[in-house]
Amino acid sequence: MWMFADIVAVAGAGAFLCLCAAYVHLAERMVSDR
Amino acid sequence: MPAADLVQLLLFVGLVAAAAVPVGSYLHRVYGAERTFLHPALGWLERAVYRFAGVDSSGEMTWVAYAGSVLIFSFACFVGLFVLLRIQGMLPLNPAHVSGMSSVLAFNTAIAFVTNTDWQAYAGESGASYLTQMLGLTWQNFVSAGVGLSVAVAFARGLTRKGRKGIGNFWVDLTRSCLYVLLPFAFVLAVVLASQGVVQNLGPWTHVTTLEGARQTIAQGPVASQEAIKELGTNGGGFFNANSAHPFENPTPLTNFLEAFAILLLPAGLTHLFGKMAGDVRQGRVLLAAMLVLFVIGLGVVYGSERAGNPNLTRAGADLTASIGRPGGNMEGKEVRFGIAGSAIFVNSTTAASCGAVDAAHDSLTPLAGGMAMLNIVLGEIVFGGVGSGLYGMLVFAIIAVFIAGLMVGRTPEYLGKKIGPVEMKLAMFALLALEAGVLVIAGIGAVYGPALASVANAGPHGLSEILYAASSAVGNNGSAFAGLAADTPFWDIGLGIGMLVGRFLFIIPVLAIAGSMASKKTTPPTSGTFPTNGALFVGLLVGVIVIVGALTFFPVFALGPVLEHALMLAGGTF
Repeated sequence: MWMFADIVAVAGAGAFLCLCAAYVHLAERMVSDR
Repeated sequence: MPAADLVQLLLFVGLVAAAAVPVGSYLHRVYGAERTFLHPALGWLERAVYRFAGVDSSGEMTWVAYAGSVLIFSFACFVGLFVLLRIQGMLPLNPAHVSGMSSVLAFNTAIAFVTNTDWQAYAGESGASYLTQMLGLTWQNFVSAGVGLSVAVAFARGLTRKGRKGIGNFWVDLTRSCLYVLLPFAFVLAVVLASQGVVQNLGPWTHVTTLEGARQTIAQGPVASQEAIKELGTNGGGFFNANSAHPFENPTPLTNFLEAFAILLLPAGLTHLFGKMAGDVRQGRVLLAAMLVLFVIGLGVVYGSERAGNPNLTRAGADLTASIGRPGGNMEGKEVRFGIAGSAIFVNSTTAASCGAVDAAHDSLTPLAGGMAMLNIVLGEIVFGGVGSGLYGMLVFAIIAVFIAGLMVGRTPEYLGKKIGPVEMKLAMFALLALEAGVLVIAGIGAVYGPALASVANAGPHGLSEILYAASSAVGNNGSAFAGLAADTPFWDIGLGIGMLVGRFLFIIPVLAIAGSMASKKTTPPTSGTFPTNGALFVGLLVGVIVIVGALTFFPVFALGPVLEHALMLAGGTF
């Protein structure tokens, strides 16, 4: 049975994915502004 | 030192060094899209994978697209494995009736296997069904190692290409890593291991009556196939809770030697691949030499400390000297069939590389040997390191070494003919700081937060070592456990899960950004102001920078943990 904790776990990993995407975006700006 | 131990240690280091060239040459053919002897057998499968996945194998990716593909692929793998771990109790191939993992444990385990850490907060044989072991964990053993190989090759392309935007195609690199490197190597090793007694079956556990009349359950399963990739992919997640100390995973001194050798095989070969890609094999030899120097130092410390044993036992009247039929030294937590030399080789290999398989209880190592194992991890897993991650970690240190050399002697920081600018330096420091901050923050919270401390089995400096080792192992993507820490609690499952993500992806992103930045640069011919990076002087500089930057960051906490424990042990204290 799916529990609230399962949704939180997947959403947490998804949030980390978004954080990584933001990191990629910032690093891209650093590299392109060189 | 017994002569047999000396021969074993020298043979091991010699074979690892010798294997770098043939393995690296083969890897160069694979990632250079050259035809290999496996293409007649596997070429059709590679093309079928591209057709099925809609991949244009001739297309190149920018570093942003490459990083995006790594992230999306890893997230998809996480979701798939998480679901499998949660519902394994309802699925077939589960003769032991293993139930689904709890949400936090599945979160921790899925991240562990996606990040190539393979930290196990569960007991292998009773926590995962055969289906999970084969479809979930072994799959991840292959593809997470494939991701590491792909990123390393992309980084090497970035450093060695001139005036290009692309750094390769992630899907092609991943497919080739799995098909031409990991699968064939693992197949051969699995057959060899099975020939030595590593079990491989799908039958239910055997229930027997012992000579004393007690009932005993003998767990088994598809072990050899997982064991091979567990070592070759520097994964480390054991089929059994006892990992490579279990006789069904690692039955003989020969399998112990081969498994430790398999851990270092691909990381060693990658240095030669890098040299060939750079057009100067000496560039690769420098990296290999730096790895070997640090590895031999570590091996010497672990072996020497274990051979010396615990002086408290000598004071109590025990004789720790080696003789015929008696290994001597510190044999606590070790398998008699491996002895001190075999265990020291494995301990140093599994922590120098980010493998995490264990053939001895690291918690039972003498303080200095346990501290050396931890130091191997916190150096950044670059002493051979993980498959792929070792090479790109070492190259980050090489960039920092070149920059520091430039600062010290006023020379232009250049690597492979390309100028190292502020952007590359900032990205390199971001990568290293993510690792070091990750370890120290998690260990710091673990050392003061009540529910975290409740998991720690020992008091004093040994307890701190148990906390520090867990944080280092997770963030360093090693996965081995020091033991003495009850890891399946909400704090450790979630905290170490986050640590594994930080150690993996907050390192890969800046590494790929450096690759993209460097790939677009043009090379300049060497001048009298160029610091040569293909000679012995650079080996010394690189080792020095690794020790200073990597090790001194952790000196205070090491002083409070293994160093203090060693001093107290000499004074007669125990924990």
